[in-house]
Amino acid sequence: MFARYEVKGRSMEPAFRQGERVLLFKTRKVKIGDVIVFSNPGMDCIKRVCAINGDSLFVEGDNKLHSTDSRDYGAVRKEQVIGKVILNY
Amino acid sequence: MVMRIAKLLRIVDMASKPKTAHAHCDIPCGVYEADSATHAAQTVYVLTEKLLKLEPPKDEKARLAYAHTVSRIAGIKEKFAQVCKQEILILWTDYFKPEHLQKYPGLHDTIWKAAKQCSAVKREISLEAAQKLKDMVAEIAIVFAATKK
Repeated sequence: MFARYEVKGRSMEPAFRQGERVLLFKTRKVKIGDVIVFSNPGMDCIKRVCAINGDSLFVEGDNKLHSTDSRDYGAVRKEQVIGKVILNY
Repeated sequence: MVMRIAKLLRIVDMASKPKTAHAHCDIPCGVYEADSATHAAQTVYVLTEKLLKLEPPKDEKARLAYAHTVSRIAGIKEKFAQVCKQEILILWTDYFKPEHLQKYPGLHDTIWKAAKQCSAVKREISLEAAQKLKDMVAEIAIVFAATKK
């Protein structure tokens, strides 16, 4: 139901800094503005949901100049979503 | 309450390490740099210089060796002009983002012209054209470096 993650990388700054830890609520019910962790080939990624079109989520990093996200690799499918961040600690 | 949960989670983390969520800036593929394009443009310049310095031999027997050398240098010049174009286009399509273009509105035009210049240096044996390509790539490299700060 819950999962703990450590953030690696800087594309979610300033909201989530490198090394910060987050608590995830495992769900695929997400809305625009939610920060989600999703499964990308070979790694789990953390990004913010910017747009939703059916089962396709457009995700971006908060630190847009230093983020590779849906602007580069396109939409993320809902089935890739692991959950949404409910707490950082 | 939240503070207590956070404290508890930190204790749990000591016992069991959390997973990693990548907010990495360069997923999924990689590393971007402008050095490869710069190197390729410089190579084109040097090879153009070499071609221009070659003199056709008067000796009939040396003609074949001369033709062979010209052919080799021209072939490598062609190859590096293509490498230069490819490296420029990788930065254009994979690295630069709308935010970069907002900050550097001339970037699209600069890259487009630089890619065309890569074709121009293939067609010609011109130091002027090769220098122009070097200047254009240097301009792109400056913007690239600025976006990395």
